[in-house]
Amino acid sequence: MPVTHRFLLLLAACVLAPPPVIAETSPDVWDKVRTGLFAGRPISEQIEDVIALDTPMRAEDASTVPIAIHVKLPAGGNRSVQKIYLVIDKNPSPLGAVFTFFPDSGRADLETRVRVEEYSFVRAIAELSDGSLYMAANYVKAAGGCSAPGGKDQAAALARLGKMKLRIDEPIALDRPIQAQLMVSHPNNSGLVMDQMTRLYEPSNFVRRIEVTYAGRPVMSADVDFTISENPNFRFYFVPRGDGELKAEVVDSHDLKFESSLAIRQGSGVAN
Amino acid sequence: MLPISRRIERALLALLALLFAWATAGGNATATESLDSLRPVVVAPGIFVFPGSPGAPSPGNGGIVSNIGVIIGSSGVVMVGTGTSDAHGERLLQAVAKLTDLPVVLAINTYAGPEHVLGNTAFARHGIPILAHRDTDDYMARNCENCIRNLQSAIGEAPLAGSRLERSNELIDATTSMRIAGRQLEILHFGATQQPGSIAVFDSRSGVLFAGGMAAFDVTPDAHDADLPAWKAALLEMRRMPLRWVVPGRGPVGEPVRLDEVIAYLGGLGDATERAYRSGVDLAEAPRAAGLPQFSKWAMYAAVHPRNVHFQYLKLETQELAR
Repeated sequence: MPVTHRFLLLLAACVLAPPPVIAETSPDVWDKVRTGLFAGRPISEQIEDVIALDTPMRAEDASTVPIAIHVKLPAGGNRSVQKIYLVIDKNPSPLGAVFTFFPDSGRADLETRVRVEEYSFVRAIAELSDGSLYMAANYVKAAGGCSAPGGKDQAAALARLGKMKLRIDEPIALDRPIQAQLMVSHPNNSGLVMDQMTRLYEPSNFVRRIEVTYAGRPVMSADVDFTISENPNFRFYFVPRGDGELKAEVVDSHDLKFESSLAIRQGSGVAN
Repeated sequence: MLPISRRIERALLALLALLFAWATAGGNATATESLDSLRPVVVAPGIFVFPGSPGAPSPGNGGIVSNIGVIIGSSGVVMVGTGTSDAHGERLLQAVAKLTDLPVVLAINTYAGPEHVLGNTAFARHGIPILAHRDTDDYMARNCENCIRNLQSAIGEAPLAGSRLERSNELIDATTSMRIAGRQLEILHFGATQQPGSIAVFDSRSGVLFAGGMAAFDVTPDAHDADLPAWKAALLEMRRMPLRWVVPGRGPVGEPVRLDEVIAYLGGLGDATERAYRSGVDLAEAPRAAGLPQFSKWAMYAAVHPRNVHFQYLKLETQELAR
């Protein structure tokens, strides 16, 4: 869908949306998303040995709710997580992210921060290499994430737009998963926030695609939207098989491209 | 630069203030909850405080959690803070009318907190000008619709009936000296501290400083928009002023030395958050990793400290990205 259409739809959704109500269950939205994404495929909620979803019971801030997905499948087993779908039922755009993992991911663990518009279920659906689906769902108490004012100083935020940083906080060892962090300076505007002084909505402008490679081989990619918080931040794993370059490429909804890289040598720590 | 009071007056002031300090001693929830938010406590001759509750806004306290100051001069009254709601603002004005026949000539919004500015409508209705720093007014305009929604969910809708944002109409851009109501007031802006437009009000005759959002005693201060180094510098500057008593935004009136507790908390918050951040602790874990048990007795610690850490952590990230 073209960005402008999407923006208008969101605008309409925001204007027409009823005031927030607190509901423990939200089957309608989930049923629709589920049908759209997975048709009639079974989704298991027996997840103890497959995935875990960590979310705060009550968020410190609805616009930056930290979430973590941990994979519990044994490393080197015959099944691995290939995709993780992130669904937040009550958000204006419930499907917020689809993460794709590769053999060089090592572990399909992922951490990021999301906006949560109302008290809502947050769901992580893992698609395994054998095609099976598993879902972890947590209820999160947070409200106002999509329409809360973002960074106060938009001018400074725009000056930083697209600045990126890759960070590794542990010593590099070959052939085992190392956690890396990708930080992107981006307002990730939803298009749903009204400037209460001008009564105008700031235009939607958000990171939509992320591709991370190591030594030219894919490590993690993601299709995301403004569900991800301002200054998108991801922690993920990759397996260095030798010296190389960890490289992240990011595209936003205005088709601006940004990239960052980090040279990795065995035994070194943070190389930038 | 500030006149020094005569000895006898100082002694009298000290006695009065001591009585007040005794009345509000302890400062923890149990000690102050018995305070009536509409019964003024005397700080110094002509200086009163309507005490706010030290806890979180709740249906029980009606969201009245901010101290509201009253400065009575020879020709009028200046109020520091306007209350939590239109109705609260109105009740405050009635309570002031019982203290003096003099008219309220100015209200000051020292920071943008709903418990401190949502009474503006009542003051405006009575034609009373409302002074704020330009950045506070701007902040209110951007955030108050959300504030009102959040406050409604904490205390219910009834107490906030008719409450809406009334903008300040006397804006200042920097520290300002003013002769008003027959008193000499210094309106102090130390730059972006607790909030960009946080100001303090100093009555030079009594030596009483209304520190607004920049000080809280026995209550965990809200640092979620704070520039910690600038805020600490402001508090150190206050410590060099000839203060007799400090009226914090929240908690009991105290001696100036109590500002050191706030300085220590801000230092601890900054250091602990930075340590967590530098060592790779993630955002979800940071509030636990950066706990400050020495301050855990303060009211609101369990709710406010993790939030302070969360926002300071994000600030460190933004700084790293800006480099």
